[in-house]
Amino acid sequence: MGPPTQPAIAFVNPSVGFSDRRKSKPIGLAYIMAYLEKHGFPSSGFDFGDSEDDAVELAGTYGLDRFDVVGFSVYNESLRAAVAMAGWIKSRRPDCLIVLGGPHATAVHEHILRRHPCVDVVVRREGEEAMLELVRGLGDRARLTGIRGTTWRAPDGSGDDGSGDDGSGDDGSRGGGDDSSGGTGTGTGAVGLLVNKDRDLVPDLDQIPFPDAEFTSHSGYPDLTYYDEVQGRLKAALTICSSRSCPYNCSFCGVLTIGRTYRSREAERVVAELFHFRERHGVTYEHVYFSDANFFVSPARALEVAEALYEADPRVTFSFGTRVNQILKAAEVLPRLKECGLRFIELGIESASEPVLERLAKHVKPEVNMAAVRLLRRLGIEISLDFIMLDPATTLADIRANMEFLREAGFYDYVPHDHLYTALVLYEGTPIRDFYARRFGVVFDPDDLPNPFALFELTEVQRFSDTLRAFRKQWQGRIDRALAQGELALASLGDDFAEDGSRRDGPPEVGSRRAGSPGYGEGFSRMSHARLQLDVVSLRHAPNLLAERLLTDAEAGFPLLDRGGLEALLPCPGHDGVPLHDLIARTEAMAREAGCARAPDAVGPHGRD
Amino acid sequence: MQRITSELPYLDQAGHVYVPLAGPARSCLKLNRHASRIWREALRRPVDLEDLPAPDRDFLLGLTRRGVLHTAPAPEGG
Ligand code: B12
Ligand code: SF4
Repeated sequence: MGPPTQPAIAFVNPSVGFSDRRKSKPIGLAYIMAYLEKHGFPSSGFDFGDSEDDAVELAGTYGLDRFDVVGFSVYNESLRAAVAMAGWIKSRRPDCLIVLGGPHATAVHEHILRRHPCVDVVVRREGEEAMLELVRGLGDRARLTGIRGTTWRAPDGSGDDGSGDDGSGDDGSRGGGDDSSGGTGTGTGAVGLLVNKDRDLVPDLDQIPFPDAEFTSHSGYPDLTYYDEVQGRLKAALTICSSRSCPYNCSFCGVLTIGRTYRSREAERVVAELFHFRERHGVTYEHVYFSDANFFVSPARALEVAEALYEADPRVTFSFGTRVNQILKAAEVLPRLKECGLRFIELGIESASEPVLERLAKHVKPEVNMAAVRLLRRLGIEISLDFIMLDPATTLADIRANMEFLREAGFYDYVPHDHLYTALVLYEGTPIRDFYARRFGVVFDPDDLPNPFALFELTEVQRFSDTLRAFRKQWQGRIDRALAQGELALASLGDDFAEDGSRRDGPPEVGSRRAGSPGYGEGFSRMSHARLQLDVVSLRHAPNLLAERLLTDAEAGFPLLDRGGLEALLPCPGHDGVPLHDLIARTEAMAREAGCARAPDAVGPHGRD
Repeated sequence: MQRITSELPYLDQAGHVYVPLAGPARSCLKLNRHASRIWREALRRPVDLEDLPAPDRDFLLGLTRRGVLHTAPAPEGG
């Protein structure tokens, strides 16, 4: 029986086992699905991105063996889940074409085909056009295996005869990963494989449809929101990708695997996408999270997008990610961006240590980080911090530089505290992974992501990291909960007062010094309000103070830790220097008193996730 | 000489002074490094406001006017 003329196609975002980020639709897959749909090939999407369920069970529950073609989007973390699902599908439906794509699949395409027989083909780099050719040509397997940008197992095991290239991308992208000797024309490294030439990246992003696709998910999607402090309200938010790739070359970056040619969209198409999804979902999206790898490559274009959004609807606010040197280079554009609704920038600071910045190939000095932070603060543009506290060769001096930076730059007040606990992840296809493989004299298994918390060269750094993680495990959840309750209580108390401090619905009482003065509810005094404010600040500081104390102890050879364990390092923060445990209990009690305590999992209004 | 006190408890932590209810809409005011230094010195021992540089004096007087700080003549010898 030949293949169906209208094949049943599915795309799956397999699980990474957890997600440390807020769940949102897999944009890359949505682009591919919309592209196929436009060309007459509808497909079904499944998003199990953060599921903790068994992969095979999920495949069974959602009937993934119903399809003629199943494409998986593969991250480093999700390869195993993808392969488990693919194996199950193949065992029940051997003629199903199993396609892998995405950053990790691109990086180790040859390895995947060698090690995992259930995978038929890897689509390297961007998937729209290659995928369309695949579904169009299903009937002719011989033609199929010649599609550009794809890698196959050779049917007779003969391998590449020279039609391929090394998968390292003619635009300098990093695809090719572990087996970059493969398919260079001699075929030695790629014996048994057909590595077809790279396909050009989508040249004009405005020619492809908006990423409009539906996904079935095990857990649904939370409404994407943004709490706009300026306008004082929660807004429905939409993620838009207005450009692809990035002209920089940071050694740890997983984006460049897909291709290094930066391309951007026209401002009016970005606005059109916002209105398209408003209408499609019946939701008035009023904040745009730009998911671009680097939105600010061209400040002039960034301004065009911002002005177009503002003109279309001045209520719309937006945020984006970029690197520090660009902030400084385009300082003159920032005030206008702010006028047009820019609320925060996700800033790739990564480290404050010069040697680490060099390893990460950031090509910026620590002073540039500080200057960019100061500039944004001056302009009143919020910063969302991208930071890598530790990498395998980190020294205590590097950590000291990081802590000093965080303190100097005012990030002790910053939440969430995740940046304190981050360690560099060595993604396949990134130069830093190769750097460490060489340095350690090892070959990392391409199926595995080395545990970033077990790679430290220095025992004192390992111990620092272990102790910090122990603190996180024991205390961070409690701190977060108390903070959420405290902040919520303060927010609701704050709502009762106008800018000048007067009670919104009562007479002004500037300078009032009486505890229990009018303006506070039953049993909650002005003094309690003041104390709660200070305790919330202290809770924000607490993990930083712990990290500082731990670092000082590490520098002295861990005398305190040896004697008293983690307990001995816990800070006593607050205006009256209370033990952390008491500070948490006191904050929760005061929040309750203020009448705003919530269920333990409730969170207060927040800017972004 | 003036003795300056804070009406409410305050926090001096991580290099900055935090003053509760002293910001807009009664938010907590984080003083910058310089202002934190002025605050600390002013509250540590009696000061002669007239001797301070004008901006520092205005800063302290501003807080006094808003009821955040109290000033009273310092007792002799103190
Ligand atoms: C927005 C975003 C998210 C969002 C949405 C996720 C999503 N799946 O879209 C959220 C916040 C949920 C998220 C979570 C995570 N993310 Co993320 N994310 C991004 C970000 C910033 C933008 C994604 C985007 O809009 N891309 C634009 C689209 C068009 O490109 P694309 O996704 O690469 O897709 C194209 C190709 O890859 C290819 N393709 C992709 N899948 C497939 C499948 C098939 C069958 C085919 C043929 C082709 C194909 O075709 C697509 C269209 O051209 C990227 C960085 C970046 N700018 O790319 C990181 C990035 C993709 N994320 C990354 C990581 C690690 C994660 C997490 C694992 C983090 C974590 N530990 O929890 C999770 C995993 C989530 C999951 N499994 O769904 C890494 C991946 C690195 C790697 N080599 O694995 C990146 C590259 C950032 C980095 N650190 O360098 N992420
Ligand atoms: S600036 Fe950002 S997107 Fe660009 S290479 Fe560096 S980490 Fe990647």
